[in-house]
Amino acid sequence: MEIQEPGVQPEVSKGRPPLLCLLSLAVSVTLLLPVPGIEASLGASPRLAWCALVWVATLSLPQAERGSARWSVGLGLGLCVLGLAAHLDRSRGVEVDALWAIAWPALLFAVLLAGAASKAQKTGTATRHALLWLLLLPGAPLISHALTSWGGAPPPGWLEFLAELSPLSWLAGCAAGDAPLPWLPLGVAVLLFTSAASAPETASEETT
Amino acid sequence: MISLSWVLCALSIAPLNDGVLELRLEGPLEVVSLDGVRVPTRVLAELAPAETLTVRVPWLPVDPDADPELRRVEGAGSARVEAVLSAPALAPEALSRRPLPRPVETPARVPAVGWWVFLGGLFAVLAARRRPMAAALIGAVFGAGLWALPQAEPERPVVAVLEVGTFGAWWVYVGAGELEPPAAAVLELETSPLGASWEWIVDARDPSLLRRLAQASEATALVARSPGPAEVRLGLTANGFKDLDELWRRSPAGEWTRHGSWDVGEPLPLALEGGLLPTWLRSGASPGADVWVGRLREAPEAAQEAWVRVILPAKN
Repeated sequence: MEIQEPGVQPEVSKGRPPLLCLLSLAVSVTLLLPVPGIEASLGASPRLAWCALVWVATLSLPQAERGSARWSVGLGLGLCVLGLAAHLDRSRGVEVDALWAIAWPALLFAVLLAGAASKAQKTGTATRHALLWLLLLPGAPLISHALTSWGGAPPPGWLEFLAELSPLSWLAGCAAGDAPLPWLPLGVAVLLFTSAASAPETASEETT
Repeated sequence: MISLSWVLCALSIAPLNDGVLELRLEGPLEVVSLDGVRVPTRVLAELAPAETLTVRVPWLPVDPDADPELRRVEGAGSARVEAVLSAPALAPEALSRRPLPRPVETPARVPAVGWWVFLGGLFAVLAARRRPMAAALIGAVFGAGLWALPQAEPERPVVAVLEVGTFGAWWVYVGAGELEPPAAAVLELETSPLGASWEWIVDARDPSLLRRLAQASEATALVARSPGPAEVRLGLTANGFKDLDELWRRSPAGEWTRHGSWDVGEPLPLALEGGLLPTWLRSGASPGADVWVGRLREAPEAAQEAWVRVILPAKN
């Protein structure tokens, strides 16, 4: 049972996962189905990395100020999917060491970035968090990729460096079969979390 | 434990060409191998002291005049050759000119138990949704459980095709890396690529489930051929062979038609639209021949997928 403080505006705590998590669930489970088209396009790339990419992207999204969903329920659903993806990869011959090298950073990304989004909502730093998220997670890798693919010119060095910092970029690299070091992206996740958590809380309940 | 080499020569057995050895094994004995053979051959057994077993083992000697030689690899028991039997008949030359089936490996998939555990995890997480951290912890527990589930194996089907022609009817089995050919199969299997190494393994650890396996690397296709049924009758008036899931026919004029499923005793169904015939089944017939190609509803024991291909000179 949850107790509301007298005088505090009651918030609806439905305990449901964010709706985007249900969409991620559908997308990531589809990646694990024995559909010839999907198997052909993904090839031998680790499904764990693909599913982690989908879930980290979803769980890290900046949260609405008056949302009532619980990110931790979404995290629970995501962990089930990641376990299933890891099982499939093991059966396909991916070494446990290689899977573990993807799994532990992915888990830390999921926890830290989801926690950062939740904390930012509670501490009133949602706007700052959203800007940092936009710049460091999808922004830099997407702009860098766009410049490389369609711009006809190599992106500036600082932008390439910024793109490499993104946890999403790191997971995409794992899905493509690269094995980059996760330390810089982990630093970004920690930065986002501490930036959100260091501000004083303005609400007492997790209502993301 | 690997003991010192120990050679037993069969006495009073006339030298023969390829054949089948009838071995008498006495425990304690785990592994016996054959020496002086073109294809490494091992017999696996789990015989306790004083336990005995008689097994038949393929024998492909390097020197046809030499006597069979056994080497006890593990175990202190004994092994001796009781008899040398003649090998199955060689396949006709014309059979080897027909294109071989191509088994397609099905990658490992999530087993049913994995999906059930996954669904259970989703329900458990949603059931605990009012306790935020409990939901995440439950998800972690189910995720770890799914990771640790026993691994599923990729399916490498053995494809069999019953080749029918002027040489009669012969089964051709093709497996990638492993094949359990029928007892009547030619002993020295063909490999693709030609000359790839492979070995015979006679698994007698469970005497009630005696298995004779040919094994090679996964990249090697093993091809076994064994005599088929005496008569295969496919005609316009009736299917006198077996139930077929799909049937294609090429007339002597060279026109392919697809007829769908065809049950025993039924007349040839009308031609249908669509349906792709695997390339390896289309080729191999000379112009003017009457060709029937069908996929069998039930594959023989050694295969997971079976076809019949009849190529006969057109009747005038």
